[in-house]
Amino acid sequence: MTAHVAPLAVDLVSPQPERRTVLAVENLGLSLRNADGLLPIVTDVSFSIREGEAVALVGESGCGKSITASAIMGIAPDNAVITGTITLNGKVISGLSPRDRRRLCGRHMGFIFQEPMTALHPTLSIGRQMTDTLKHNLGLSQAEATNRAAELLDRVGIPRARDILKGYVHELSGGMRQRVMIALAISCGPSLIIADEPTTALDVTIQAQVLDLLDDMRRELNLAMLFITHDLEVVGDFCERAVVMYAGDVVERGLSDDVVRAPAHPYARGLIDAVPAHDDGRTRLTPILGTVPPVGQWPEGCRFAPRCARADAQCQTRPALEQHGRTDVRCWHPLEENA
Amino acid sequence: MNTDPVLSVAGLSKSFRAVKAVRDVSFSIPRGKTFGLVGESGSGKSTTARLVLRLVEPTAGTISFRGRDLAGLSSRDLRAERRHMQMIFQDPFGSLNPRMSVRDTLVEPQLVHGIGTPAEQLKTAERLLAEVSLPRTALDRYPHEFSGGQRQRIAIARALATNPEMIVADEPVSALDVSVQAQVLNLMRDLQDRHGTTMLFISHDLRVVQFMCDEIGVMYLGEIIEQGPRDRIYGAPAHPYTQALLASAPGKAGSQRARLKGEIPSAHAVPSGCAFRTRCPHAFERCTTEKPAMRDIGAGQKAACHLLDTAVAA
Repeated sequence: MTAHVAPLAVDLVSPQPERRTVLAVENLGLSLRNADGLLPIVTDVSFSIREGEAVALVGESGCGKSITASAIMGIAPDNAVITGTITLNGKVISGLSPRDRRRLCGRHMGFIFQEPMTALHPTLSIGRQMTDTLKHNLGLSQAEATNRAAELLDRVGIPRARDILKGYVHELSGGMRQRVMIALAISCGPSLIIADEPTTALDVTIQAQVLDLLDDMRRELNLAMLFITHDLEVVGDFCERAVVMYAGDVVERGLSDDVVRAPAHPYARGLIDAVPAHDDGRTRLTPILGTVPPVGQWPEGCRFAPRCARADAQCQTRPALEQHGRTDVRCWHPLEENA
Repeated sequence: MNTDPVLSVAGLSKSFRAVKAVRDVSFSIPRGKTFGLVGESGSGKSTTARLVLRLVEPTAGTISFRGRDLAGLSSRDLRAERRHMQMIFQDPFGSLNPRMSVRDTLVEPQLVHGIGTPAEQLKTAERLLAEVSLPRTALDRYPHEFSGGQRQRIAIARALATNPEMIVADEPVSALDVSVQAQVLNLMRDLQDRHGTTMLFISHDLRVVQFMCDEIGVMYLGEIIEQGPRDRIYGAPAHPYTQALLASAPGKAGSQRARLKGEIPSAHAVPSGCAFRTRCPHAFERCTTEKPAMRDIGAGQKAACHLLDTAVAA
């Protein structure tokens, strides 16, 4: 009898089964130690990513999105002081020694960078780079590793995989290099992929191909994906949830649809209005006035206040990240449109 | 008022040894209008800009600027003519001389072209700074003291220093963050309205081109494959490449994104017939053997595709 009722109720209330949290970042702070003391770069960043889910970390240059990623990857600069906790598959990794961390992360995290030309080794063959990784992390033999590497290249849509394995990065086009990076990133069966502006350097038609590939991989392998980008339109297409950063802070966090279409934070709204949209027939754009304050010169209260039309005396005090309508917002005067 | 086009380019081609970078490009720009060249890397749009400025010598074709053929000018006459055509480049870090103060940067073009007395030149420099919304105090500072957006403002002010009839802008906002990009695009449109400057605008960003340009040429492997007024190109693209380019742009729902197979072939080995046929979802036999001619399809729109023949015949 319950067999008739239960599935219906479950479908209505929660269309998706509970998904395991792969990455949890809580109150992450990062400062750089220099001659004058500590220089804060990122403050109080919290978000999580579940399996099979892509989460976007969005912002302009200097907002702290890439250094947040580097803290998660364990490749922050030597003089970085990191606070808060980073949990991967239920295990706290933020306190681990670099060696333990490498052992853990090599297998469970894959990385894709904007510029594969600098991320891949220029004078080692593609096959060598891939088989070294496979042998080191999975303990495969040379023959097994070569076969696996060829399968991986095939899987990411690289034709003539065996020939390409003998070749070098500089012989490939930008799109093909990025496919090699993706093959490497998924090679050891990771649960998390961190992609830092993976399509920014590519032409639009190639960008579409690479985004499709990343999307397919996420679905097929049930990967958690942290997608770092400055392009809000890519976010809307590609990511389930979005985290918007400004001057080292998370200023808005929520479902991509809400954040991209009806943001509550004036900065997020400004980012959308600043981009010429297709077919809108505008003769003027609405820029965000001024520029992002450099690190070390952040205002005391709300860091966006000096550029914000809604700012008043209250904004001299730092707002907390709080739920407002459908998203979490760090603002005293959030926009009402999504409430 | 003079209605002749300010710039008229016909049959423009450039080969670097075996590489055919630009092939048979023709377009013209009426006074005060903006013509956009859009395309992916390797499409030849930047080389076309450099040909128009005669920073590179064309292999074939004519460039008629203000009614004079630039290709026939002596280097001395060419230098004089450059007063009327200025340029803005992508990289605001590389295109300004780091050792020159903003004052010198803005005065130098006037000096080179013998415009005004020193006092007038300085006055012009001050006016230009105000036009691009930088404070007068910027005069004595150096490029490294400014942000990317501010440098691009300085580059724009420098381009305006000789009061040119035409500005060639090659990816002027591609290196800037979106919020700053919007400031610079607004500025360029305001200045164009105020000065009636004619513009050749080059970009890979379809949104930016749509915002800035009256007429657009879509380039692929060195050729313009479709050309027409902005609303036609964006509203009713006729060439399969233009259609795919527009559909690939982010912001369209993922499932609707057209997937164009493969990559741009090398300019060393341009495919026979239609250069786009190796990636075209509609390619058929004729596309391999015969190069499609540019065909007029009404409302000022032209495209080079055999499908249009079939459509017209049917």
